[in-house]
Amino acid sequence: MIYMPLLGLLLGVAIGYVVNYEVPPEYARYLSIAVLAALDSTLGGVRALLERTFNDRLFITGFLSNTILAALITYLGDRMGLSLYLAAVIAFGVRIFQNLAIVRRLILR
Amino acid sequence: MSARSKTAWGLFLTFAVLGFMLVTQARVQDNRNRQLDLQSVEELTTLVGTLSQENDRLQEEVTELRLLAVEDRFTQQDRADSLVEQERTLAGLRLLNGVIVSSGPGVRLELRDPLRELHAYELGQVVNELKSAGAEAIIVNGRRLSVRSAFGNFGEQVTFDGIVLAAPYEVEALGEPDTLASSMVMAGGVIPTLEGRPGVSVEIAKMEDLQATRLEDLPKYVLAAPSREDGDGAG
Repeated sequence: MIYMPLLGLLLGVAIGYVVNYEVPPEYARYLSIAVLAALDSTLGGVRALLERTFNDRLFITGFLSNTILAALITYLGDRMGLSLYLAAVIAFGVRIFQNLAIVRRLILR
Repeated sequence: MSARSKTAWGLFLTFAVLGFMLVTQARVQDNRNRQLDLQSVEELTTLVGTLSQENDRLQEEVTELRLLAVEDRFTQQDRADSLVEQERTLAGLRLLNGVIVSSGPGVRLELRDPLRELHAYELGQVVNELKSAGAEAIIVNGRRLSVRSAFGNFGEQVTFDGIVLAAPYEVEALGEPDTLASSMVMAGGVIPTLEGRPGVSVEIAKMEDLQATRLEDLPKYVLAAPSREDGDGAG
């Protein structure tokens, strides 16, 4: 059970290397924000696991909606001429650090 | 499928997607970095310098090649032009020299001289008059007149290119018939002068279609060689 996420990560990395998929440069920004959102979701999931409040449905829907929303916000910002992606970067960045801190405390407690 | 294994597979898939995204993003960023973003100002300056030098060099090459192409086109044009010109000249020279059969309108003179009054000089006068009236080819008793043709006297008889001519002399000339005929018969011209001699009579006829035969023997040049400059000039 503990190894499944690790195995999944390894598989994803392996597929990424093998498939060698190139994102067109104009969409690279959306992917980077999406990655940040995905990282945030996973850390949130780890935290929930450790707090024993983990809900797989919440986790998976959160993961998907966060990534997609982050990309959408960046796209919207580009259309509006606003650096809206910065909002996503700050929001996810702050939450990643918060989650990391909580995970650290939960592990060390 | 139990709730636990569902969660496990969900996590597995989610992390697989995360891994894939991470690797892809890393590669995209790597490619971008390799382009321009994170290179130092010095590196970029050097790069710009090198590229501009290379650009200049290529530009020069383009210019040179364009010049070459233009030159080449002119040379080819020149060659084609000079070839056409030379062919025209050659055709003209052939016609002039009697190398080829030529045909066209002209005049036919029949000089009757039962008393043997006419000699090389008089025949030469007739031919000269025809030439100056614009005759393009002249045939004397069926023999083509060439650039080296000459009349001569052999006793009482007249020779043409070394061959004795039998009277009456028949002189045909290709050219504008009216011009040739009028130059022959004009007052004080060659025909009235000749007809002043005893027994001489000249009959002149305009011809629609005269045939000038080819020269039987081409003139041979033994001692005269084309001078180098002219030879080069003629190409």
